[in-house]
Amino acid sequence: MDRELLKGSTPLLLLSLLCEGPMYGYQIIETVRQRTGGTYTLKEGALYPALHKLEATEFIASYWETQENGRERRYYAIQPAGLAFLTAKKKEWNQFVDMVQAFVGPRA
Amino acid sequence: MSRALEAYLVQVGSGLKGLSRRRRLTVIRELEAHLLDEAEARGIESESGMAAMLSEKEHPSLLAEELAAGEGQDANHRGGTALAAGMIIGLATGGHMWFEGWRWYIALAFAAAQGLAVGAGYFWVRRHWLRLDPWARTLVAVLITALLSIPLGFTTHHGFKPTRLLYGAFTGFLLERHSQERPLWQTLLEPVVFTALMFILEAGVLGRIQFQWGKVPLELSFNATILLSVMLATRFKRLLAERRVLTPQQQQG
Repeated sequence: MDRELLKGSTPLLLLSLLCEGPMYGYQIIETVRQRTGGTYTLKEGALYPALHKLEATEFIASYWETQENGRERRYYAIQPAGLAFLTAKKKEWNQFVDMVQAFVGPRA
Repeated sequence: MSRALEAYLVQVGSGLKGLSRRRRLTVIRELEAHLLDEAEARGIESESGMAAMLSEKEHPSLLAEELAAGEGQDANHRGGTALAAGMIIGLATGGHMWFEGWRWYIALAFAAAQGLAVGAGYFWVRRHWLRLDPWARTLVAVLITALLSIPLGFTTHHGFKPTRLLYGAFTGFLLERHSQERPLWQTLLEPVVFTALMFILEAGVLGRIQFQWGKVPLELSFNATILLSVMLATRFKRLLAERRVLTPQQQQG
């Protein structure tokens, strides 16, 4: 799969995942790996800069939570601005897919 | 902590160039939590197991470079958009005062205080209460902007005017409420209710001015200007945020 295409889609992918509820870094990586059947593995060096960028734009917010075993995790949660952005981009994405399918044809 | 993990984190930390000490600690703390989560999920308990897991990871210097790459741009985005959005509010309200006939230096002082202290200040600190529920967020925003608007109190010909702080609080209320879509009827009602409140306070409670219907349009237009500038500033800030998110990360150096 085209790495540049995947790289460009990372913010939308992360926002979509966080729509399901707050998640921590390793949980995000594992969820992506499982859902893509292992074809796409997010590395730490790609995940955290993308999360920090989304946080800087206030599309997501983070907080630390202490686990029962005493260890800490940093959770990320989607914010209303992020949700509005995702909704708009999903609409654009669906229009784009429809347009491409009109030429390339649906998946065989 | 595992010695292998400690050594890995030290190497990453030393490669995080251009970050403040506090930010570097946060990034390393987050990476440590991440790696411990992974080790736990994979059932790794031994030192050799941890060393093997870390050997599968990116080289510490490369990881540090990737982690640091967007940090400067994120900080610039935060500061730059806060300042730009604040200036929209300041210029609109200061400009309105100038058209009203206030002395240029009073209008300029109001624009600076409203734009830099209230507008930019609000956008700068807002991230700290993002996770509160909407009503708590609004309450915090009103209190913080009332405090930030203390310089507004001095933008008069005669010393300190405490009711000026209410304009700051009103701006904070609008900034927080308009961070999401608002029904049109609520948007239209906001400056009307605030104008009524200001007259009740200034003419009724404090007796500072005498109520005259002729003064209502001016006060209402000023409060409507605050509303419009807040709507413009929040939309402008959101537009810049969208552009920032969709722009691929640039490597530093």
